[in-house]
Amino acid sequence: MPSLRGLGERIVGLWPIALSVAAGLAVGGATVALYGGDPLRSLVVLVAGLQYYPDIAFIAMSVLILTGLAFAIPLRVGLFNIGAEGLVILGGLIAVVLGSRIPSPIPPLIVAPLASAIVGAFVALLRLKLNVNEVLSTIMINWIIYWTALYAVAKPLADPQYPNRTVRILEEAALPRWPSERLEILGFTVYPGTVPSVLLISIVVALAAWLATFYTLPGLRYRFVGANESAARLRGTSVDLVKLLAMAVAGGLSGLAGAILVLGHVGYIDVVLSSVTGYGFEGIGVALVGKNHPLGIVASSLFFSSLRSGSAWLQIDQGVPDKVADMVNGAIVFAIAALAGAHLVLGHRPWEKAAKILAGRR
Amino acid sequence: MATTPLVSMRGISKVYPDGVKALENVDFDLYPGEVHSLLGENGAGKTTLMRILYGEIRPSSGKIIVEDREVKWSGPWDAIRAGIAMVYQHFRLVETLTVEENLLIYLSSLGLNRAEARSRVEEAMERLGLEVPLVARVGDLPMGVRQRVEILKAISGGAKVLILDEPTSNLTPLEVEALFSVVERLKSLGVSVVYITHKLWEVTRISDRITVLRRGRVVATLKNDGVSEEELARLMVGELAEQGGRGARRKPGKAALTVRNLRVLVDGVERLKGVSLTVREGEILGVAGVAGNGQEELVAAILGLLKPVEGEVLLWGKPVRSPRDFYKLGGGIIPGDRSQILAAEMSVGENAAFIFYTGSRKIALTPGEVEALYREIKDRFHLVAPGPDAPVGRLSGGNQQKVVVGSEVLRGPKLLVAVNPTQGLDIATTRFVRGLLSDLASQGVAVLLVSADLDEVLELSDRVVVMSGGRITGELARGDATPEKVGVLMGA
Repeated sequence: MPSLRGLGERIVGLWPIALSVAAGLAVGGATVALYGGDPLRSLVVLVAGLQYYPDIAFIAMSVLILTGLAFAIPLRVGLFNIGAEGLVILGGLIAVVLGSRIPSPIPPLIVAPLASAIVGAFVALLRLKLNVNEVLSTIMINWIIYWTALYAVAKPLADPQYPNRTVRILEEAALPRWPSERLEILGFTVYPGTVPSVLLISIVVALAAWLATFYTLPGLRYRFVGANESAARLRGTSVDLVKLLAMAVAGGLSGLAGAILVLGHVGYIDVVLSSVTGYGFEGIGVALVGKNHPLGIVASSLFFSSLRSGSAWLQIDQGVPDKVADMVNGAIVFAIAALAGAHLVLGHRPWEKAAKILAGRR
Repeated sequence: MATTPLVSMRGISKVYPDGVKALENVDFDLYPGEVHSLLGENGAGKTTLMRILYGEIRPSSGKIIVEDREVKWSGPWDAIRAGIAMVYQHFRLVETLTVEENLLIYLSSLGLNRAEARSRVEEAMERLGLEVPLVARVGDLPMGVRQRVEILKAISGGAKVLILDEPTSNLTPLEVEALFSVVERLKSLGVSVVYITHKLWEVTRISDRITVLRRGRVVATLKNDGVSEEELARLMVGELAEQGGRGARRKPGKAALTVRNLRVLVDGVERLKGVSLTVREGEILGVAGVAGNGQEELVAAILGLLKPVEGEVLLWGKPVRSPRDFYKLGGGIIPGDRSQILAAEMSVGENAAFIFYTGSRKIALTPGEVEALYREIKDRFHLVAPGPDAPVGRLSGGNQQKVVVGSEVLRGPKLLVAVNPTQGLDIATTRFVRGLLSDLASQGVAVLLVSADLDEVLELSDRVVVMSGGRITGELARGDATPEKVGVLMGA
């Protein structure tokens, strides 16, 4: 059982993440100051952004949990999946197509993940059989889906009455709504709507990922493929199959993310796809800040979704562009990457090693 | 032979921070135009000594004198500028670039411009009588040609001393002959060659002088006139240590592992050239030989990791085609290199469970089960560890090996393949592991012991086979296996 000391070490192990988040917030604060706003107040608005648009924030959180997992799961076996962005759009499209015809959310909730899982598996096959780098293939697939979707929402799926969006899904195809219209929680009035359903799906998925990864034998083998591939092979684990499954699951989760966005939130896709884009890439930051751990991802997705809704409020409150949130995201991811790079170069005790290099005693 | 040495190394010692003494007070002289072989078993210190001369490693003490001047290298570049070049067993060429590009990169870093480099290369090719395809991509060339590119690189860079590290290990027999004629040519041009090897016949064939190293010390430096391979083998291997006691063995039972006429190609090179052997229940079959003579490939093929082009591996009569088959049929393995099986940053418990549950169809794995497994290994194998959650990489080598051995033995394999099972272990753990193998055999387990440590093989085995050059060069019964006999077979 994890000892107290182990827990302490784990918390200490989070310092790079804390440092990166701090760096990101510092960049955000500096930008606000540059625009003549109040940096401290802005940071509070950003970090506590949840309160301004809680429903939107929790939906975003649910979607980010899934796209975060979609990045984290393949990363553990050394695959760099940046295809979530495209597969969220694909999942959303499938949800619109099925949801506007069949009066139930079940078919799209099955078909969207399945179709996206097939794409994910295809990417893995390209990598394993033809040695096509998954970064390249996922970037290209993202664009293929993007342009196809742009055509689809403007032409075949367009709503004749509202040319700026697709047809709406049937009311029966939406995810179940909370029985009462409003709720009083801690003195706040909230309008739950479909938020509990959406959040429930994501949290259940994250818990399942956590249990499967850390409390099952297949999960242990999966982690060994990442930690020591030749050991896994030596002990009879089918390394290729594990990688294929990791990419398929990641694809499936991305498709599911798109589906719950449409079925649980917007109900349609707008003509510039803004309702389904951005989540895939943001998932990368979520996974990195969450240290690739399913529960860490739940926590970090809350932070990122808070930034999202806080930035919208920031525009009103301080008159600064809402892109500040994107800058904070970018700076955090950059700082994590830089620290990881420094770790690669400098090893386990970066400060000692850096001091040695500076002293010319390499 | 000239009277003053070109290179003189005096009193060289190398002690690593963990206390391992790689070299102790070694003297080594190299005269102009001589071929000087460095002979020794794995870990004898041959390559370490030459990496010191090449400036890659700094000696803990001792002097290097080149052309009557004491030198202190700060890196290989200093050595290269002084005319000392080294060709490693694994070539240092950029495979995606052409031969010419590789040569230009090297020569331009020595301060030559393109035109100068070209003319140097042409001159060197002419002097050496070597033809290499300059426009071919290195990755497309056979190993023998790549080696010639390396030699050409060194000579066109102005090398007066050329160090060849195990140069024949990747070559076909024809390529070996070609290499020998290149070495002759180098000699006639006045280049001194240091030839690192453990192959006895090569040594007697091409050297002028021979220095034999054993466990970091010079055992002898001899002229190559009429010295026999037997004598070299004895010098290289040394006297045998006192044989340890051994539990009473049963009479060997049924054939557990049968390897039949196994031929294996790796990157087009034939690594196993028709190997056959049988291990029966209750016996230890030792495979002796210097590392790199096909043992690794033999083990990989037995596990089903390497597909043979010919021949088969059977466990109790059933074919092994994948690691899964191997474990399912009752096989187990203790690899010598623990990094092959342990994930350093994962916990002791996780590593143990990963090994213990190999092939299991179990799904749920609770922390309680992992902890129970950890306790059992701790009690039965005297594991010293802070707890099941500590990263296995933080344990000492001996305790890491106990995790491997313990988890594998608890699985209860009926055939155990042990590869250098005591490599890098302290004396107590070495004794423990050897005792364990012996006990397992007494209990009826078939053991295949593949080890580069001859003492270990001779101490434990009921029968010994010797591997050299991808073949089994001989089989000796327990009483009959002496270091001299094995040594000769090792160099055969």
